[in-house]
Amino acid sequence: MADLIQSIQGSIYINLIYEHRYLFLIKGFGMTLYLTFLSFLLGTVIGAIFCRLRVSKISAVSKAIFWLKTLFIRLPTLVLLIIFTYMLFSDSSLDTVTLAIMAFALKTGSYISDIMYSAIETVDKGEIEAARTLGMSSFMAFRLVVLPQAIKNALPVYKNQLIITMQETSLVGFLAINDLTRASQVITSRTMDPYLSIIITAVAYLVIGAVSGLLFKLVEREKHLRLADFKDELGE
Amino acid sequence: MSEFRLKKLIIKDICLLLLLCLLFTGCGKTSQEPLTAGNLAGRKVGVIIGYSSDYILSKPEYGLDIYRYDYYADMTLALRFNRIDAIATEMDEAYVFCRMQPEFKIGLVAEEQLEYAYMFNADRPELLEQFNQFIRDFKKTEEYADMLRRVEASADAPFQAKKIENTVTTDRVLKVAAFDGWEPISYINAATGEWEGCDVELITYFANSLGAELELIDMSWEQMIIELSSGLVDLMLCPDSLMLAKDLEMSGNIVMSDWVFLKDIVLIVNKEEN
Repeated sequence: MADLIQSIQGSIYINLIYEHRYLFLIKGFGMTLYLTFLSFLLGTVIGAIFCRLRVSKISAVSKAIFWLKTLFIRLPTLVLLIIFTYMLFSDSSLDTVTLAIMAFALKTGSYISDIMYSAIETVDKGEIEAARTLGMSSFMAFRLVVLPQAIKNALPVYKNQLIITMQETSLVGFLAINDLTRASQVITSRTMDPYLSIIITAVAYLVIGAVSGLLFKLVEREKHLRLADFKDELGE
Repeated sequence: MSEFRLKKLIIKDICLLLLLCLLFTGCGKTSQEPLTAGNLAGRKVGVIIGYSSDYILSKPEYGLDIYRYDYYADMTLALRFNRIDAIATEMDEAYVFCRMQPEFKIGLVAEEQLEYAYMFNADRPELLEQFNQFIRDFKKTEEYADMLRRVEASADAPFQAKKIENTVTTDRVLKVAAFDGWEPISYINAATGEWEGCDVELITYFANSLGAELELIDMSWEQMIIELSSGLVDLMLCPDSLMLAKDLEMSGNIVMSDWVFLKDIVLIVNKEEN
């Protein structure tokens, strides 16, 4: 038992304390958070734009967007990263982090546009017609009738998309961006002891996933509370 | 303000914030200024993860922005497209790299040479002692000097390998992990299927001094470390800087020999832009 404790202590020292190696993990954690959330937020904006254009009445626009998002979904993320870095933007002055965010955002945005499109499609056409009959404009019908139901339907898949985006960011090590996975590889390359840094990395990813899940739950709770207040005001 | 206008304003703010975040991530193109010892701070330098150059140049006193790659191919692409300012490697590798890819050249050489050594399994202290004794004597020989001259000549022409016969006088087998495709260190000659390179020659001399049969086993760097740690091989051929010795000692499974080669760390740059 004493040997085991001593071995763990030794592992902690060489993996984290010696030469301040914990800094690799902290910086990597920050980079992973930055890449994940920025890609996801941008992806959501792109997804909404793609979804809006996909339901466009101009057939050419709708078809073009459909093929564009299919392209981004079908190309593996690593291939997309290579295309962005060494082909499309090889001569641009954008740095690799920005390019990685752009690639992840487009990939995520394509998935999110599908999620949004499916969620909107699930709303009964009759409800929209009823709203229009009551004198609502098409925008009002979308905002007050379609959107609340679509959000409710899309939220579980949308939450999963955040986790998928976070997992995909671990590919940026290919571009030599020091994210969490790369940080653990760097430590392993120095200590030849992969266990502790990998365990810490795995826990860090689980924590990000759990915290994002919690944030989504808080948003949902807030929405329900606001709905309850609204119903109280109506005296239901 | 109506709820709708407020939401519109929030969405606009978020978009603006995202745009600002993107702008603040900075510009990726590297500086076109030639590399000198005085302007290294903040330069983007590519290294292979876990190599001596990574270990050494990551130290904060150099102030470099280190980009760690898995393969030379990825690093070369990054240098070609100016995603990094330079590639850091050892001089012997740089000779071959620049000969095979003429668009690159050696831009800067470190001021002092570093000691490189082989890694041994920690459970073979007697073998390590024999090797240390061997290398102390071998470094004084003409064979060693000739080997270094041929390595240097590989800057202009392929490495002129010398065939050293393995003389076996005992039933002892020396199991050595080696990495193929690493001219002039260790590689398998495609025409003959034989191992060649300065490390291969040196270790054959050592095996002969023991009278042992030399068994070279081709494997990746990661596999080498695992097999060496678990004692499946006696030593590995890829020489690494002795600066790693303390780390390896702490890991408890691997020890380093006395220095075998003195090597320069060099920075390879794009020929046309530097």
